[in-house]
Amino acid sequence: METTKTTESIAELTRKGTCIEFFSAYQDLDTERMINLATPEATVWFQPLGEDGKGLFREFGKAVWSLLMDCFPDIDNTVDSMYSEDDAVTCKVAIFGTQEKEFMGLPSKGLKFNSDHIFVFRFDENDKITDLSINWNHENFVAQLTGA
Amino acid sequence: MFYRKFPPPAHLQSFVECFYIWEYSKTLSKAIAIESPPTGFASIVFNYGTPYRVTSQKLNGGLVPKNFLTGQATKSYQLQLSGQIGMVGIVFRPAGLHTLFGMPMYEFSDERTNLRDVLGKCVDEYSDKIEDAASHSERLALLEQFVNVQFLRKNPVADRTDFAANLIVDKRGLININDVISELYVCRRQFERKFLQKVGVSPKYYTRIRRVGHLCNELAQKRWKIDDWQDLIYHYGYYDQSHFIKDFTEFIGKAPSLYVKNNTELANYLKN
Repeated sequence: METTKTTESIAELTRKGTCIEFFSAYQDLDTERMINLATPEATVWFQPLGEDGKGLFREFGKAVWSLLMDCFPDIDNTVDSMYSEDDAVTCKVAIFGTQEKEFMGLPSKGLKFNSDHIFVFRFDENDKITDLSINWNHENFVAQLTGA
Repeated sequence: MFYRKFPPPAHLQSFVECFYIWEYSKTLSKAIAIESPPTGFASIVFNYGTPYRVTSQKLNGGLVPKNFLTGQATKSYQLQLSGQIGMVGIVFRPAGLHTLFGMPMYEFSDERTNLRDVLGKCVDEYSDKIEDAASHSERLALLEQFVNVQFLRKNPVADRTDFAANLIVDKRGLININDVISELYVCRRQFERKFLQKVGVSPKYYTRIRRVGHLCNELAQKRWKIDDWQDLIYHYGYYDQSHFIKDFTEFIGKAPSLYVKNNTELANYLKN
């Protein structure tokens, strides 16, 4: 019984550590490191974009993060807190940066954004990411970039 | 009911907030529920009373390990005690547990992890001795010895993160993190990474936890009778009422009015 418990807690240790590594790679603008933490079949969902925001972690996810890094070259993050339950780790993260290029139809006004995000990572038994869903207040994000 | 906090000796004051003993010599005729806001402190607890349950965002009334380590709470939680109460604890300064024991504290936020799983078999010896101790002073001495052994092994030195985290506690969370970063001449990213490692949450998030925790403490001291809410909100540095309600509800899990009502009812019930 205790052996199982110990194993479970070690698994969680690795999973939270993987999340930290994901955000560290994000800070370093290193999309390869980010996607290498996931299985080849892993999925991602940028929730405010609806069904259009769903895709493969290593393709769609990489494309979105690459675009973000291109349009917001100083993009950065702060991990506020992490919480694990079952096979998921939920991270509250502040994402911030300055827009330098048009992003998804939003022309650049050179404005900064700072937006609280919720990342929910799911893992397989080898502690690889199998799914990630990301949520944020998109209206507020757009308002910050348009100065509305 | 006996509940008392004890200050640590001088050489541990940068790492340990206090020791405590909580006992009840009789057997509780029915279970009692005690709600606690997030306090901003991590702790190690040795329980020699009846095993108890915790309801939190993670534990749905589950039994907690006999001896456990808990990191930062990011939400209110409720202890459900029954039978006999007997426990002692070490409450650490926000970065103290990491500085003394070296584990990444983000792993323990909102968790109650079996102490044996973290520190190994050495825990059993202390657990047995604490259980068998004949007096409060003996138990207190064992707690001090437990920390002292680690202190001698590790020879810890409080660093800038300890300083910043302790400053946030001392200022009740009413502090601008950018000012702290400038004052300490540290790189923001490095500071935030280290803080997450040593405290378990980000510096800004920690100021919010600390502020709400301290405010709840003041509400309790005033027996939940607040004459001027606006003054209180202003005193705790909230921008306006809606900002206060949003922050309070996020950490406590209920609106301030409901929190005060519930606690007033509980206080009246206990008084009667």
